[in-house]
Amino acid sequence: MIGLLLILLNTFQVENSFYGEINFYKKNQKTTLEKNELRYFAKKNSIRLEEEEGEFFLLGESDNVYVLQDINTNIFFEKALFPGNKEIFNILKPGYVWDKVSAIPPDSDQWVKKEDVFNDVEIVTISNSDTYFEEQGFKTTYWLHREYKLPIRRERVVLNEGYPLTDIIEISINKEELSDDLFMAPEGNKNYKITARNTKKDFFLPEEILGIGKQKTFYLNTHKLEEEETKGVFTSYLSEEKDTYIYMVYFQQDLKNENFKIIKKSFDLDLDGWLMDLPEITDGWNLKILSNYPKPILRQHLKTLALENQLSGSGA
Amino acid sequence: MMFFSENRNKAFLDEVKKGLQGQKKPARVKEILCDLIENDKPKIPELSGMAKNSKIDIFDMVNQKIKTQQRKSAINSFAGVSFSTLAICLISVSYFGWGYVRDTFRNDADVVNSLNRVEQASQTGLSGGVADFNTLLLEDPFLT
Repeated sequence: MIGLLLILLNTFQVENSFYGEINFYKKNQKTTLEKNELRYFAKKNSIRLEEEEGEFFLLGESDNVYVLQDINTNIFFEKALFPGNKEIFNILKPGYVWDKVSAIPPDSDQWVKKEDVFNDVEIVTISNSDTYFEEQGFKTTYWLHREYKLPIRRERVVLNEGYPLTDIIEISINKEELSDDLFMAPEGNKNYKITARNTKKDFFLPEEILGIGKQKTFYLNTHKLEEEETKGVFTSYLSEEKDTYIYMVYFQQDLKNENFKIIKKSFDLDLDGWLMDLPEITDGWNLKILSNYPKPILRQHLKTLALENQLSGSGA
Repeated sequence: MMFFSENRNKAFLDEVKKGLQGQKKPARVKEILCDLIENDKPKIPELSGMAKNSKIDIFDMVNQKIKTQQRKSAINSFAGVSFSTLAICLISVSYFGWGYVRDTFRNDADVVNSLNRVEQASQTGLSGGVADFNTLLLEDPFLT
């Protein structure tokens, strides 16, 4: 009976909704670096992250949504393509870190666990042992809110040339019943998705450009139940030394260049590029090249590759 | 070369003539000139009559003119340099591409940072400050 009550209590707590601020920064011996903050809202298995008012990410178990407020669009990032966002989802998911910490045996030589009360709040602290820190050169510490089962602070210390460099995350927690509307993409916006599926045609995307291999290709498709249409393509070529990059962006032309803007924003491209004309590009489509390689050489090289592609008959 | 505009120059000469009317030609011209060269505002008894009657302060006018000329020269020089710089930038961007020109003037850390952001966005679907936050969570023993 008591066990059942505990399970019910646990379920109740996990389903509660919370909001607050996340402050994150780095600190070396004397200086605070790269200070930043976000607002978050968490409910059941959905999280809303706001960097600026009206521009937010929604992360959920089923879909990932990024709303680009300035151009009135909802971008759905196909979940399978972007596994790298699970960390941010997990830290704000009530009970997730708590359960991992609970599973650590009391006699672990890697972790030291403590329980304290600060300002009438019960806090569980878990930290890597000093021995572990000396051996590995890094240390993680979590302060967890016992009632809400959520982290309120995390520190990661790394020895950088003998001196400690600390990443700090502080999370404020306010418990409140939040409306489901907060966790839904706005109605009336145009819906797009970033996906691996191409519905339009083949695009000329060489396997290698100037000896740099092609990375993953993403397509910007309209997101409709009945019809899905490719409106843009993004692929990147990045040298191992990270000193040369080439981004190829195909986009269907429209009056406001909206398709290009969406791709730029989706992939954090802070650079405009130059238009490239190739025989493969059909009417109504454009290709922009964003690169730090000199344009005349790159243009000539791409033309040669396109010609080889045509002659080999492998299709454009 | 005239310090003033033609009209003002004429007015100035008229004023000087008027001030000098009835006065004898200064006997100590050489001394006066030396005094003028060596001192900012020499006291010249021979010109005291003119100074009293005149509304024109010759030294202020000369100083003002010099300042105006210096300002004009600075503006012209700035405009010339700016225009040349702008023209060179436009030609460079048009020929080499914006990415090449911009990265030529950026330090390596900024370029790598910019590329990392694109990589993060490509791997996580998160961009901006949210991506920065997510980066701190990578390799966390409880989250990955």
